[in-house]
Amino acid sequence: MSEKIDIYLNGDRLQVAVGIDLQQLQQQFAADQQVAIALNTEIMPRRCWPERVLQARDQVLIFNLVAGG
Amino acid sequence: MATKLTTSAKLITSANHSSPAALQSPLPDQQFLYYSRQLLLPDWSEQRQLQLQQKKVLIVGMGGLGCPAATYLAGAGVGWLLLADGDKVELSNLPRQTLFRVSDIGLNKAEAAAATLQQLNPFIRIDALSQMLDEAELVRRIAWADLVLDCSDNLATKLAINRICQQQQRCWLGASASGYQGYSWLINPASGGCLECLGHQQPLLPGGCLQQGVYTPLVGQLGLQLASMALQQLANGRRRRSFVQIYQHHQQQFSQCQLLADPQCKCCGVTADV
Repeated sequence: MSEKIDIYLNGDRLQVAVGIDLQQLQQQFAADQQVAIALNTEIMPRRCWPERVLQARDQVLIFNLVAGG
Repeated sequence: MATKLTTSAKLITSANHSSPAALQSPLPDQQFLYYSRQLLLPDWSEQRQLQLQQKKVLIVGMGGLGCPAATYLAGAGVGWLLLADGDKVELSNLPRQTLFRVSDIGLNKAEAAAATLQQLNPFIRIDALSQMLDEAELVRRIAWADLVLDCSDNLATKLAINRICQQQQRCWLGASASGYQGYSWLINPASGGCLECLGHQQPLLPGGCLQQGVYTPLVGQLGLQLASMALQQLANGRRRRSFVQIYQHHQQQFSQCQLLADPQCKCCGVTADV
């Protein structure tokens, strides 16, 4: 069984595999949606997602990009 | 395309100023009374009120975001508001676009909003642009304004404002909402990061209020946030770093996040100097 770490995704505690990056997290939890991701209160450019490996206790916000008003 | 400019001049009383250039000191009695609760704030003053009276704000879109934002900017005493919207008031707008009444249905939104706001504050100037702004018109109007609020409901307008403000190095504010999702932003080109860095360069899935509906209080909250952020920006002239405030419906809270610049962004691609 692979090792796990605890992170917070949209406020909820969650266990994910050690070594998972933002791109993999997005594919796992928001694959069909156009989203932006904030990691520890910084919004990460999309091209950085594969490089950012998650650490224990990281706080991640995944939110849909919308255009309405 | 020509743009129709309507001034609600008939609603302006003799006590009103014809333009923000008409600086008076101290405040006339009626205005002192009008702004008295605000003037009691520890960091407010007649001088600050007079400075606010000199400011010009462009609000693009007079829907669910633009109505609350404009209401509180007018009430606070921003000297000159320019409201832009080419749409007409519809029955389905009334629950969240609080400047409109049943009697306004069929009227242009910018004109109807300007008329209502002028009744709210007769001491400021309010103009209406009753057409959708094309690129050339946006360039001209953004250059005119001290601050731009994007309250539009479509991606094309948001991206155009983003691009032009980047070109003109203008700080600007905006918000977007659909369903239970929403966020507001302040983008300061000098600090890096723009709407395209956020991911808005990709065509979005079909959505918006017409397809997904919208949580009525959310657009109100976002509009008020825009007004508050605008007043802080106008009064202090602080050069803040670009940020986004994201609404989390289940927690009923906003999370503020810094917007990082994408070094390879086709729109900004700048080096931060703030």
